[in-house]
Amino acid sequence: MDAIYTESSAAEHTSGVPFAQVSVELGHLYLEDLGPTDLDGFFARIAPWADRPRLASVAGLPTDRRQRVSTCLLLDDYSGYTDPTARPSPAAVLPELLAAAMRAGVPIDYLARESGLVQAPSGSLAELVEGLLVADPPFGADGSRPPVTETGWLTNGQRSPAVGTRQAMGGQIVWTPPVENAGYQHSVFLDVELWNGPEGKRQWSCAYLAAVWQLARLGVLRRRGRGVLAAESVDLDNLPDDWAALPAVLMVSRTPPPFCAYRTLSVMDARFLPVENAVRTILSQVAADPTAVRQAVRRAAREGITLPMEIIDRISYVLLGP
Amino acid sequence: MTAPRHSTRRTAPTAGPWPVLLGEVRTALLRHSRAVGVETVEELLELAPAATVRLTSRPLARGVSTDVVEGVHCRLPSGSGRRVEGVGTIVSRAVVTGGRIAQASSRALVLPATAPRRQNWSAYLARQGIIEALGPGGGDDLAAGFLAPHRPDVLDLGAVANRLLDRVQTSLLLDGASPLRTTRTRLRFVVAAAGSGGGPSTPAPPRFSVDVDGVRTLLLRADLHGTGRELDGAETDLATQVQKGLDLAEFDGGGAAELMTLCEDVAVHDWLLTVLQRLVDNLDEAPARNGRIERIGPAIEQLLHLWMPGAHAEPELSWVWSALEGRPGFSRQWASIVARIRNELDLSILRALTADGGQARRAGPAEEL
Repeated sequence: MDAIYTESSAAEHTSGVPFAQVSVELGHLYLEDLGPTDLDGFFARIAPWADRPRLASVAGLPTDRRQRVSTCLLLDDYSGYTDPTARPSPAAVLPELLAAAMRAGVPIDYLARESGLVQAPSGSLAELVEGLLVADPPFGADGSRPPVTETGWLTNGQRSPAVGTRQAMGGQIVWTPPVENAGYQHSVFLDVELWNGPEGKRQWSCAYLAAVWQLARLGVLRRRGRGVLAAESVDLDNLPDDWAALPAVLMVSRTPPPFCAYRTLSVMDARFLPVENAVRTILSQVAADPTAVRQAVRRAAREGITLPMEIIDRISYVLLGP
Repeated sequence: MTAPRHSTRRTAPTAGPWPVLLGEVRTALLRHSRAVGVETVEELLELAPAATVRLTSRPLARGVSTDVVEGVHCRLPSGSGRRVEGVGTIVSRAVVTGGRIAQASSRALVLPATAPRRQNWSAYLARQGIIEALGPGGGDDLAAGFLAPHRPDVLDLGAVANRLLDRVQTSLLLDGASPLRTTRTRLRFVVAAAGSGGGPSTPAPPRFSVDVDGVRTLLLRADLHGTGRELDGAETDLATQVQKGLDLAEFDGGGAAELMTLCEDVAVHDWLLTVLQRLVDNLDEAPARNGRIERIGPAIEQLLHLWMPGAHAEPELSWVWSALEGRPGFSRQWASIVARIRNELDLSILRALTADGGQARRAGPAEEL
């Protein structure tokens, strides 16, 4: 008879994270929007889309079941404002933002800073996700050569060749259309800029960081098998003057449901549609930790919720016209 | 190159059971002057930040990297030359055994496609390590094509494994100095689904061959359980749907990871045999005698203790090792090589002693003078 021998270091460790059923994103705001925006009007438009029946539908739950829903808002303190000193301080804008959401009946549980996705004490989430990208292969990708990538860009197909360049045999290359890899009969070709700028001063694109944000909310990111983002509570009466002094995710309500959720719902301005389409192009090419993806499916199943394995199928939107 | 257009007709596999696990392992001596410690192994194998490197210390130190995923869409091998396309992902990993032997392995479990044409890429990333076959042909045709000489523009698992091994071998953590001359070996393997003949039966014996071009081939029939195929179809009631989603989540790749470990283990031992057999075969080459021990020395120090067939294999796959020990008899050959090395050592000690004795005899009378 053989003994049973195990070593804990031999097993893959993937910590679990607590899950709400739905994470509702109550709009998206740039710091410079905070001054001119009528926040009461802003949240009043969003609130009806986050009511019980709609959330039950998003969660895949019967309406009469108890819901576990957390709300969040991502503030863009990353792009915009070339002069950081011109930005309003957290103390100047956050209390009013939270109060307006409360008045509209959609209190915010978690407030996140976009810069917190780029720089965090435990390491950059943006860089972590870059390591998870597995490019959608065009026909002809047989493994014999490394995948062809255009630095800083990600596409869902094959690009047109550069027009006007000279071929080896002397002829000019004529235009040929780009092709979507999974296209059927016709293509919807997308080419998404992930970042630009010189190495070391990389400026991540809005679409890329929004994709990181969705992954964080879905609780499928791990670093060395451990969870990556812990919400921290802050003293709202003593907010710092500097945004960078705040944690990446602030817990701004008392004992809210978990930040991560089986599914996400984002209610936002329709002007973000192209960005969100780009987000879906990126998320379609993220190879998330299979164990983390499965943990969510298992946990949801215990609550009678069917959760798809594909990350992008866990995301819902409401896009509101102006 | 333009993307092919698939017809909307359903693909109907004609022969041979699915799924088929295809893989390739490359094995080499780690490019370092001595065996590396566990911390270095961990750092070497940290190829992606998300997951942890798996480390085992008993009965032999072994580190396994996180899985590295790469997408493919290309023609699949076909013994009959049929046009079958594959879309999906290859999963690769790097392994360091005994702080001394470096390996990279790539694999893909090939299944018939669930839809008649290519799906959104996210569908493939949700099932990592699976390639869906679009087109006619069965598992047997695929296996036959994979075992035939490689053709251009057809799925190339070996190239993927080779690149990964290069990545490990060129790491700045290594000093690039090798204490002995070795080769990089190549092992291809095919695991075909065992027939669904109901009930446990005696497994077909594994087939191991060394081809003219030095490629090793291992052919197995094993139970590739729970392939996820049975999970398709429209369900209506909630409980069934939940169960279906859960089954899909529990799908572990058909036991592919365990089979990969087995094949890596076979490849390590085949490599050890190859390296040491070549070493002892070359001993008698000129310059004879001189430096024989110096040439054997590094192999004794670095490699002899690494022989441990089946050390990391799952108990349910131990029958494969038992069969390989019967024929071609890995351990028999190893014992013969080790005996040869021991003899060399004994002889060299003897020669040294007799040489000393000769000097002593010569010195003896001088003292008497």
